[in-house]
Amino acid sequence: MLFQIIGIFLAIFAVSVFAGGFGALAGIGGGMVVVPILTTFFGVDIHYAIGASIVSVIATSSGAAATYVRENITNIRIGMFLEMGTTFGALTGAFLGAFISGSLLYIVFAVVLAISAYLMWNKRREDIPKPIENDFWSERLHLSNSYYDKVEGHEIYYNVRGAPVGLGLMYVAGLISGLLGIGSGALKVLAMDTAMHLPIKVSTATSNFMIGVTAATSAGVYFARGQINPYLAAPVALGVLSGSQVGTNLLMRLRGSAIRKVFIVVLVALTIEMFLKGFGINIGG
Amino acid sequence: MAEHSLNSQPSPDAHPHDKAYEQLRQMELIVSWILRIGVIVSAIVILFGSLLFVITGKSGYASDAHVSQGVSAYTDYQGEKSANLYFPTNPGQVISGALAFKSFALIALGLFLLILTPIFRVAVSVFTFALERDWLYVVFTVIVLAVLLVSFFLGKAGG
Repeated sequence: MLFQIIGIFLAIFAVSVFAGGFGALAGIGGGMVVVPILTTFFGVDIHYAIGASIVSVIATSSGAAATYVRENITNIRIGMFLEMGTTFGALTGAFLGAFISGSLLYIVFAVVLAISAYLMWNKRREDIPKPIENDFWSERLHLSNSYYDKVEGHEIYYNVRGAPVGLGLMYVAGLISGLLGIGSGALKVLAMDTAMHLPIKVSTATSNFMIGVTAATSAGVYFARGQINPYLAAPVALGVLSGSQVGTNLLMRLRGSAIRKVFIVVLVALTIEMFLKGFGINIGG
Repeated sequence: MAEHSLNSQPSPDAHPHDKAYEQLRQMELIVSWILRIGVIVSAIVILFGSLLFVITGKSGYASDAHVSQGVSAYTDYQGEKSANLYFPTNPGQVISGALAFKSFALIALGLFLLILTPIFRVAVSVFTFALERDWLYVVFTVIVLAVLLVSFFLGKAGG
């Protein structure tokens, strides 16, 4: 029996390495993959899955963020501004966690994922966003910036718009993050990509920066509630951390449109999975 | 030509290669270094606790008595109230358990440090924005930090 216990501990680690690599590449923090895998394939209670997931989200974000900050791709002002939305949302979500039906949320999230997959599909050929003018809020908040794109080979300047809308979307993203124990990276990247018109690489890098802070807000609550079980959180944290190092290096060298395409596949897969969970269907359970 | 300041905003006051700019660039590298160190230290502690668990087969808590049940002794949900029989749920329990060399307490210590890393990073940002004299963002960052700290207290109160 002890052999089985140790064996599963190690198996969870191996699976988490994969989740970490994929999560870093798609900018979704790996959390969305962790919860379904733990609950359906390992038969873990959802409370522990959420706790382990939030830890993996912090691990991915912190592990990758150092690289992005060094490379100057993360827009810290946008990140910090939008964090005000996500952290309030996460507090609300973690607090409400006891009262709202998980099934309903999975369905709502599946709808959001489907919409974002559709929007991404429309933009799949774009590598660099079409030039736009800064709007009033972006001027006021000094949000425009630039970064050096290794693949394109030159500095890309970008302007920003829709900051208030972005903030509202971030509150929702934080709420979902606090409730489901995921990073809501898809929603964050979606908001920055479509509502605020950031280049996809900047959205992804900034989202990664923000995800860790949002997750830390929820994690404090989960920790005291006894939802962070070392047996699950340890292999998940170590696995995701290892996997995300590989994913981050790939992100630097891929074209913007390649990232979008990978992202679309991820979103479609997650949409289907979420719908099924919402209706109580568990595959492989 | 892009002029990058610490928080990636082309600042009208910072010219490349003058002293203020170099100072800010230094701080940027320190922030990046802090994130790295925080994650590495947490990972080492978690790894140490994990190896201890794998080698000894003991968590140091209640699950050890139910090993014959198989993996469910570790994966069954224990609820909020009795959770601390199976692993630490507050800093006091984490530290006393870690000092007693309980593998799950050592893991919990590493996890706790991991959670602290983003919080510390935000705290440092308060200083970096202040150094840039960007008071609007000092305010924004303080708000975020306040929410982060409140979440810990809400959690402790049993939220």
